[in-house]
Amino acid sequence: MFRVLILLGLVLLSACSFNAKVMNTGDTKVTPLDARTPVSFVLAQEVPVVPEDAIYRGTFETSSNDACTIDKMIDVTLEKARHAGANLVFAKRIKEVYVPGTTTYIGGVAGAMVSTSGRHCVTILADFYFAETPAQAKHEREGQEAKWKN
Amino acid sequence: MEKLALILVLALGALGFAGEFDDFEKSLMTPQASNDGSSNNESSDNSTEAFEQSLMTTGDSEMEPVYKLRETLLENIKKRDTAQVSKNISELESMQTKQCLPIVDLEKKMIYLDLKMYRRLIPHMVHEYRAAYDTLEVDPGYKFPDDDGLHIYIAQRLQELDTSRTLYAQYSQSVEKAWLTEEEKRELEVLMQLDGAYKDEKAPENMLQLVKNFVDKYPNNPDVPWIKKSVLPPLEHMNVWDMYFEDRAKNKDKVIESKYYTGGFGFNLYLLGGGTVISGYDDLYRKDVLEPEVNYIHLDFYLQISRFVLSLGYYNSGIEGIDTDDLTVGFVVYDSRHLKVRPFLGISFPFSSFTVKDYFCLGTEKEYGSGSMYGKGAELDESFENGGWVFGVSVDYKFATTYFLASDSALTSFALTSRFGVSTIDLEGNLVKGNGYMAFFSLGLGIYLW
Repeated sequence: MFRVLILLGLVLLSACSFNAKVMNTGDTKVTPLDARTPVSFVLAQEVPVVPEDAIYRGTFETSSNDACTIDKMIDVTLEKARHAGANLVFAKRIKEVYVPGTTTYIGGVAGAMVSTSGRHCVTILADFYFAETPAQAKHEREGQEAKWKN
Repeated sequence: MEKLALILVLALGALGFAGEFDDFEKSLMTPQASNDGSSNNESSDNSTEAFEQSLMTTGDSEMEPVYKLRETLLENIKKRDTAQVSKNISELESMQTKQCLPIVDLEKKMIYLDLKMYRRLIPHMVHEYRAAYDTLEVDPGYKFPDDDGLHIYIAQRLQELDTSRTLYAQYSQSVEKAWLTEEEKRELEVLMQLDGAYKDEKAPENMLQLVKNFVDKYPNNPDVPWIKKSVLPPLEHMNVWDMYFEDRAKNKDKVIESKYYTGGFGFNLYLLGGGTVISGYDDLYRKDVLEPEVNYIHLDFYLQISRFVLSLGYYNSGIEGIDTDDLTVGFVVYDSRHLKVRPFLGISFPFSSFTVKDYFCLGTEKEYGSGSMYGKGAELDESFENGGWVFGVSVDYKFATTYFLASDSALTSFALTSRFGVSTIDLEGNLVKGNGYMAFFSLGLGIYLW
């Protein structure tokens, strides 16, 4: 009975959960940015405002299904931003969450229980914007110069 | 050159500030003997050389007036002469070039805070935030006076700030007591709370309320357009779940449209059914012996893949007392927001649903031990060996469609469902025998997950 309840819970949870996706994107079709386009990552705690002429491209929160470390989460966020046509990531919340481990039964009659340990993961909540600011232009210029030097 | 040295000594001496004189300047102040005219060429040459050295190390002639004006500014700050401070700051701002930055935004802000020059602080803070994404338009190697008294004063003011609290938390009492309009105080509150707007989980919610109150109460404030574009939007997009459900609601029509003629899983409960014989089934059973049972509840499950539907169900037939288990294949010919039509064809397996009215014996002998005895009130359990064909059409009226639980792509439809058709079944039982064509209908409710 307990296993049935767990299974039911998992079914309900799977219906409730959603893949990390960019929300509030609106109806307008957006062209993803080129992979080489620099995307700025701004911490809202440092700069609590967005550029005045910035065009909102959506809000995104990474999930603990994504890779866990801050570096990887930033990479995921930047990639999502590019895909959403944004060159500015406005990171409003970076927090650590604990993801509990799982226990799975593998095998038939002679099977075994396999457990994974819990882990600490970082999640990022960010707004995506497209903005043509002097800082962004300088960032792109420096990126180009670095590329030419290499 | 001696006269130049004298002028410098007098000028520096008049300032009365002995904090940051370099060696050259100090050397000018101590040897008063150089004023009595008995200087020799050698000391004069040394002074000149030292002076020229000092110009190269502390700054060239471009920086000299900047340093002087900054000294003046510092004096006026100490005297708390806000009018002169404003004038000095404006003068320093006008001296900015691509090679020289006489005063920076942070210095101005600390001065305004220290002297409680809140009316000047408001536009300054707005400018600071608006310029956050600008670049400094200066040449590489630009000069900035970071080694004078004003710089030390600013550094001291910065050290006094508590970085764990917002500016407003530290200056709120002073702001509320200041000689400002209510609008200016509220705008200052917004600007001075911004540095803590994202410091913890609750802060954005509180900040959003503060900003909304200000924007609603003072819509004609000249900074409101900027606040609406730069401050408000990120604060309004904090609750991911709210945005998810908002997006879901916005996209509902599109999602429903995209699901027409796609797969799903359905369940129908029929509460009303009936039918009639079209032809045949004459003397199907003895009405004096058997009483048909009416079952009101029938049901079916179906699986739809693309336009094809596989159904399995327990149905009423067109004859009372005969129910069927049908396995049918259907095809969705029409699907819309409210209507779904699917004809079907399949096989039908009948079974009886009768009650024996009175005791009777079926067989060659009526004696006990031979033949089949049927007791009064017993349920007749006829076994029909053959099945038959069934074809018809199902029409569903979808009166409500909603998302499945918290999904943003799976849907649930609730429908009034109906089933009409014709079947032809050979009923070859012991007590029930016949064949022909019968028409049936069933009405009920359905739920469809797609």
